[in-house]
Parts: sequence; structure tokens; C-alpha cells
Amino acid sequence: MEEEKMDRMIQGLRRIVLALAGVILLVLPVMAADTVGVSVIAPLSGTYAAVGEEDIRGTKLAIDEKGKLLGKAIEMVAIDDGNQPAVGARKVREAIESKGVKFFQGAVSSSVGLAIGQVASEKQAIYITSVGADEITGKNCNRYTFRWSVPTYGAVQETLVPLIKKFPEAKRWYTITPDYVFGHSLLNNAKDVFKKYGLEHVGNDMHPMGATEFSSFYTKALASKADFVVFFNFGKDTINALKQADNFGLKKKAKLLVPWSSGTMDLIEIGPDIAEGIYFGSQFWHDVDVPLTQALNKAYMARYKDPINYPAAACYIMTKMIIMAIEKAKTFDPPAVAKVLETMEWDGLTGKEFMQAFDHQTDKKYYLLLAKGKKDIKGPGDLATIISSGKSFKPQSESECKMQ
Amino acid sequence: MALLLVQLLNGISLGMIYVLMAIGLTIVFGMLNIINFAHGAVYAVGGYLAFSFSVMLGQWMGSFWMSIILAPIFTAFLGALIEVALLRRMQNAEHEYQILLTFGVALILQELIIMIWGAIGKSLSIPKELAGVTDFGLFTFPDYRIFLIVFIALICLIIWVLIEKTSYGSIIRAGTENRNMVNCLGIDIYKVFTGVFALGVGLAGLAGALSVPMRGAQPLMGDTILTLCFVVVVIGGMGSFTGAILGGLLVGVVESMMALVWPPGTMVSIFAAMALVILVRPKGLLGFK
Amino acid sequence: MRIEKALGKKKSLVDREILILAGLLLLLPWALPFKSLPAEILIYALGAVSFNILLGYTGLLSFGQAAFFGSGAYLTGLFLIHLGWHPALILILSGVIGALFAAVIGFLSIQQVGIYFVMLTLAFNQLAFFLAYQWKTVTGGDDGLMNVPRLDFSLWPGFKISLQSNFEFFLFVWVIFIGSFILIRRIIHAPFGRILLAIRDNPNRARAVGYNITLYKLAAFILSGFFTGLAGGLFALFMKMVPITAVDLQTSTDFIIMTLLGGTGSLYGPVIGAIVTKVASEILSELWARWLFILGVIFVGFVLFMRGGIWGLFVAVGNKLKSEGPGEPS
Repeated sequence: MEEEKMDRMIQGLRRIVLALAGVILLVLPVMAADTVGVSVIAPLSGTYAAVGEEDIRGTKLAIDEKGKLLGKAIEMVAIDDGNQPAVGARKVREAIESKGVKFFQGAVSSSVGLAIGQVASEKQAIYITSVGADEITGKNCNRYTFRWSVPTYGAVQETLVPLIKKFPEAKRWYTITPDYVFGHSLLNNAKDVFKKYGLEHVGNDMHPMGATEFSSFYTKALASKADFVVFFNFGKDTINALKQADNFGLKKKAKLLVPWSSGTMDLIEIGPDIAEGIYFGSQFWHDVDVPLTQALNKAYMARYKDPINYPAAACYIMTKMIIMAIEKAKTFDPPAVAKVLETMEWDGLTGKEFMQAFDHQTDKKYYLLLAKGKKDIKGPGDLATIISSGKSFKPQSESECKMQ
Repeated sequence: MALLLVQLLNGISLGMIYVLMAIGLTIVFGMLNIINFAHGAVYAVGGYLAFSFSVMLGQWMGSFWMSIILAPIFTAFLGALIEVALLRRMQNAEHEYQILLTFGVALILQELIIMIWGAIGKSLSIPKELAGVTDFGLFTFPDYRIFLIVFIALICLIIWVLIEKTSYGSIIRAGTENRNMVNCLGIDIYKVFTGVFALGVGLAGLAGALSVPMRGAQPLMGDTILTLCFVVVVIGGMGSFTGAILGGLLVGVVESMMALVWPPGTMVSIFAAMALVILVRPKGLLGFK
Repeated sequence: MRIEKALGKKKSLVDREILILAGLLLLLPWALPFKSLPAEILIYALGAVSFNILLGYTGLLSFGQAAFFGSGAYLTGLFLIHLGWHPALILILSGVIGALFAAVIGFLSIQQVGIYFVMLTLAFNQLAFFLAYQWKTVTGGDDGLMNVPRLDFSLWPGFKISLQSNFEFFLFVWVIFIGSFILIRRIIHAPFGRILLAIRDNPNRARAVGYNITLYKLAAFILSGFFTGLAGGLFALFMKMVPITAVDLQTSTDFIIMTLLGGTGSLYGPVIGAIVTKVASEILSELWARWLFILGVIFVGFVLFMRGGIWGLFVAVGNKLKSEGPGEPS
């Protein structure tokens, strides 16, 4: 009689599974034949949910601006990766196989970017990213992965060097580094700069990602009588670090630099009281004298009231790059689009930008900003002044990329 | 030498936050035998409430103080609600179900925070009176952290008095040792449960409120501190008030010292320390359960 | 209780239950509108079933499963990249390393009971995570182990098996899952399982009767560790990479949640739990950015109203149907 019970249970189970399948098929959208899917990979849940939301906004702006592409409507396919490589990679694979999506952009963490780049290469789908790890256009480069943002070399060059020139009497430099690959590459690039300009690297502290206590580092930095303290963190770590730096009165004794920041998002979260006088490096600034940026900022403000921030801008331009490449190639076929992308030039958010064919890295400017204090802020978004901007990229001879 | 002193002081100020959290966790476990995986989430709620109150009350001088009083009270109220609505039915459930339930509550709270306050982090400025640094000759130390140490020590004293010297406290102590007996004595043990849970949650809310000026408020701020809380309580001894204090300070100091010696190993040292304590003295340093 | 009744019967290795289970699971690629999810579901199902050996059958709430899962994943990944051996051999070795980790962690943890046991396993999980994070040269650290090749292999000379397509790989995982399930069920339904249950319900009495409960708990750990490590190896093959999340606390928690939702009262519960959890997460995350909220509500609901899990619900329904059947005495 056990078996009868088993049978009935199994019957019930079978019916439920099939019913569920029916419901699922009704609920899930299917890609219509006359649309082309452009995907944004964004952390909609988890620590970076705020960034994820902006990624979606930027992508939408680019898609709505274009409307139809080669006769087809563009559909945004949002993938919530929760900032986890396993989730992101699998969902991208799923989107390619089940929905036939061939164009992807986004991701916040380098680990996610690397994982998706691998899938893109395997499945021959286009992927443009803004993550920071050098490997994306170095050791792990591939035919189908492209990067818009400036990697660590440029970020360090365009922030450290102008400050060294501006403050020639600042000889003692202290660094605080998150202990993982990305942090290490920022640090190593900086060390090269210190050596080149004969500066004293008076100390470095490694901290685990997501560390909440930076206090001990500041005591050491203060004790070392550093002129500059450089923070190689990003995101939440930077916010924490700077808040505590302010607590400890570090700003009074040394100048602070954050080479890799998210621009306005970071500045808003830190607040002008704490941010005042700190130097930030940024991939993008909404108030530069570049026609595309001005237009984009206007469009964003029309919808969302506030000036645009970096994550939204990045997803906008990356989506736009995909659209432009498809248009130029006159086809949706990824290999052809990739070929177009790798030699493309366009009017970008930092002026004229172009793609380096040998490693799929975009040649663009990087900005050095000085954050304003409350009294100097004249309106929303007026959070910093641009000190300098420029382009710095490693020559092809030094590249680790072996493009097949 | 100065470095060591600062790190020690730092560790103590850090540890005080853990102490508050751990006391809350341990009295809930001791009295209700509940493992509360939502403890981190209510810490976050406390932090966000403090932020909102300070915004509502404006730039007025006392707004900071009002916020850190109001936030824990409202958080405690939330705790009472959770206890009555959900935990009542969990009296004798196995630990895994408590964990799943409170974990679910934590997810709900965390997502509610994002829905109400948005996903981007919030800041709360330290009031001007506490915003400076004090020069101790050998080193300087932020006033706010000194305030934390003193203020939380005061709170611990109040709680100690509550537990040791009042009749309510003796009920709690008795209930921790023998629930049924207390019930048999005619005391409405369920009201006491709600009160204790609310108190525990309120302490977490206070810890959250106090930490926001230092670190800001983010929706997932409760996540890391949750695991640390459990570590502290295990080290100090489940159900032991003094154990929570000792454990909290110990973990805070270890965390601070490790940042000096071997920063990447901070977390692992704390966990290794906990593992060691369990293996050698399973009841914790001062525990009895 | 259900398990005891089921254990009472002598079961052959492959009987009707197994065939029905195998058949239903084989339907997954068609029942679900996802191409690669079915394989991942089975992989997690294997991990959850292995976990239930500890929770449902021995009463051990282990937060350290990811240590076994991750070690198996890294071993498979590394061996595939650097040695290129036969995947079947590598997978067995993944099981072995999982068992080894389980032996060590288990031995140290089972000295304690209750919340202390739980926290100890959690501590060991964190230690394993730390190890994987720091040992970047081997594991790739935070970036993960990339470019793990999914090698085809031959069963015997001339008979090549390809793993490249989604369905081929799913079939491969399905075979291994069913085989593992049969093995686990056989072991659990032997007197060994009875003793585990006795230990779960009343360890002192079990000890009094003369059983060395430490040894049995350790054996349960090793068994669980082997199959969890095996699942980890399959994961590496599936993902073609090993992310650091394979060792983190979230993965351990995933196994626990799947098992609790599915039902700890049987070996089938975790399987259902894995299916439902994975499918629900996938669908919910596409519908609402705040889908974790719904997940939290589901957890609360389950604990309050459906503590037997989904499987428990089926049993209850089945019982009701049986007692209302024609001519059955109530």
C-alpha cells in the first residue's frame, strides 16, 4: 500500500510540474521575431542594487533614442546577476541559447566581467564591459569582448601624474589597497609612477574587500607623515574609508586621492562635507564640454530630474556602441559586428573615442576631479571641478593580449 | 607604541558596537532559545530609522540625540511585532527552522529598506560637539569613538542593573534557566518573551543608529555584522551577559590588531579564534548553557 | 514517522520509485523553458540530497557544505585544465577530496552539539573560503578559475561521448545523479540509516545501546562529503569555470534552504526543493528587482505552515486521498 501512496504522490507531482510549466510559458516573455535583444547585465539585487538601477536607466536612454535598428525594434533584456559571476555567466548563456540574444553589456565586478567574457567568446556573442581588471583586455582578451572604460594603468597615470606635477613638494605617498587582483594592479601601476618621479612610497596597507575598519591604516599614515594618501578601493569600501578618514582628521594632515571612483554617485553618498578637498579620478563627468555628454545629461535630467551619473552613462555609451556597430555592419551577425567594432571611431562621452583593434580597449579620456565643499556648490551635480583630463594607455608592445 | 595604544582604543570602540549586538542576541537565545538570523537586519533598520529621524528633525542641535533615542525604540517595537506575529509559534521548533524563519524576515526587512529608502547609501553627520579629535599626546583619537565607548558602557550598566537588580530582571534570569518553572509560578511568560525579544532587537537598533555616523547606512549593512555577532556570542558563551561583553571586546580588539599585523587575515583569525574556543571550551569563555 | 516506515521495507536497488524519479527528472529539459538550468538543478539536487544525509537523517545542521562542494569544483577544474584526465576519474577524485575535507571538518565538529556544532561548521566554511580566496595562484582567488575545458571522453575505445551540447551534458549529469541517488538510498536504507536516525532522535540512548555515535556521525559526514564534492566537480564542468562563490557561505545556505523547503523527511524532498528553489529564483528575478522580498515571505510561510516541506505536503495529500479511497477503513 506504500506503493499506491507513492503512485498517487507521483501523479500529483507530475500534474503540478506540468501545470507549472504551462504557467511559466505564459509568464515568461518570448523574443518576438521582429525585435533584436540588447542585454544589460546589472546587479539589481544585492549590495550594488543602486548601481544596477542606473545601468538600466542608461541602457533605456540609448535604446529609446534609437528606436528601430535595421528595421527591427530594440528590446532591452535585463539580467540580474546579483554581482555574482556564476549567476551572470549562466544567465547570459541562457539568454543566448533560449532567447537568441547576441548583444550584451554591463557588469560591475571584474570577476563577473571575466566570466561573461568567457561565455561571450565561447558562444560568439558581443560583450562590452566597463569593469576594471586589466585581464579583460590583457591576458583574457578575446574576439568578442570589448571594454569602454579606462583600465588601471590609465586611471593611475591620469590622476597621480597631474597631482605630482601640481604639488612638486609632496614627496611622501601612502597607499591603501583592497587585497584582490584589481587592487593589486592599481597599486603596481602606482608603484611604477612613484619610482619614475623619485617619490617615497612610505607605506601600503592591504585590506580585505568589504572591510569596514580603516582606522588602523590612518594612524599609520599619520605617523608616516605622508603628504598624500591614495585609496585604491571603490564603491562601498571607498565610502567607508573616506568617512573614517574624515573622523580621524586625516584630511587636515594630508591630501587624499581616490583614483578609481564612480563620480557623482560616490560624491553624493559621501556628502560634500566629507568629500571637500579630496581628489577623485573618474571615467566620466556629466558637465564636460562634449556635445554628446551635454545632450545625454539633458535627456537624463528630463526623465529623472538629477544630473546623470557614471553607471548610467557607461551603459548608455556601451549600448550605443553596439547599436552603432550593428548599423555600420548592416547586419546582426556577431562576427561581422565584432569586426566593425574593433576599428570603430565615434563621438563619445569624453570627446572623440575609438577602439584599439589589438586589445579591444577604447581609447578615451580619464578625468581628475577635485570635490567641492558645501559652500561652493551652485546646484545639483555641481559637486566637483575638473582639474585635468587625458589619455594614457600602454603601448601594444607591452600588451599581454593575444587575440586569436 | 602609540600605534598599539590607538589600535587598542580602536578595538574597544569597535568592540562596543559588537557588545551591544551580542547582548541583544544572547538574551534572546538565553531566554527564548531562539537563534535570530534577523539580528543584522534590525541593526540596519535602526540605522536607517536614525537617518530618517535626523532628517525629519533637521539641523537642530538635539536632533542627533533624539534620533539615537527614537530609532531603538521604534526598532524594539518592530521586534515586539515580529515576536508576537511569528516567533510565538516557534517556541519549540528545531534550530534549522528558526534560522530559516528569521533569515526570511531578514530578507524581507532588507528589501523593505531598499523599497523605502532606495538602494544608495545614506549618511548621518556626527554632531559638531563630537566631531573633533582629542590629542592624547602620543596620538589623536576621534571624539565620536570615545563617545561610543562611554555611551555604550553606560547602556551596559543600565542593562546590568535591569537584569540584576530589578524584579523584571530576576524573571529574565529565572526564565533563562527554567522557563516552565517561571510559567508555573503564574507569571505570564509570553509577555516576558515579547519584552525580552523587543529589548534584544532594540539594542541592535541602537547599535545600528550609533554606527551610521561612522560608516553610513547601506541596505546590506547587517550582513557582515550578523556573522560576527554569532562569533562573539559563541566566544563569550551563549546566554551570558558578561560573556557578550567580554566576547565583543575581544573580537573588536582582535579585529583592530589584525589590521595592524595582517589585514587580509582579519576575518579568518576571528573565525579561527571562535573555532578554537569551541574546541577547547565549548560553552564559551563565560557560558553556562 | 515516515522515514522509519519506508526503511522498514526491503528495497531493491532499482525499483518503481527510482524509475519514476528518473523518468520525471528526465522530463526537466522539456518541462522548463530554460536550456542550461536543468543540469544545474540536478547538480544542486545532488548537493541537497547529500546535505540531507546530515540534517534529515543524522540531525546535523552543517553550514559547511560549500567547503566540500568547492573543493570538488576546484579539483575538477584544475585537473581538467592541467592534466586532462578522463572526466569520470576526475569526478571520483572530486568526491574523494570532498570526503577528505568532510572527514577533517566532521571529526572536529562532531565533538560538539547543538548551536556550537553549527557555528563550528560555519567557521570551517569561512576558513575554506579564506583559503580559496588567498591561494590565488591555484584557485584564481576572487576572479575565479577560468577556462575549464569540458572535455569529451570515451566510454570504451571507439565510443566517444560528447558533453558539449546542453542536452548531452544534462544526460551525463542525470546519469550520475540517478546513480548517486541509488547508492545513497541503498546505504541509507541499510541498518546504517536506522542507526543514524536513532542518533538523530536520541543520541544518549543510541550510545547506551552500544553504538559508537562519533564513528557513525563521521561516516555520515564522509558520505555526504563525497557526493557533495562530486556535485562540485559537476559544477565546474557545467560552468566551465569555478567562481569563488562555490566555496562561500551563500552556497552552503542554498543547500540548507533547498532541503528545508523540499522537506527533510526523505531523500526526495531535497530534490524537489532544488527544482523549486532554482526555478522560482530564475523566474522571480526576471519579474521584480526586489524578488528577494518574495523569497523571504516564502521562507516565513514555509516555516509557519509547511514545515514538512513540499514533500511533506505531498505525503499529507497522499494520506488524505488514501483515507478517502473506496472501501478503505478509516
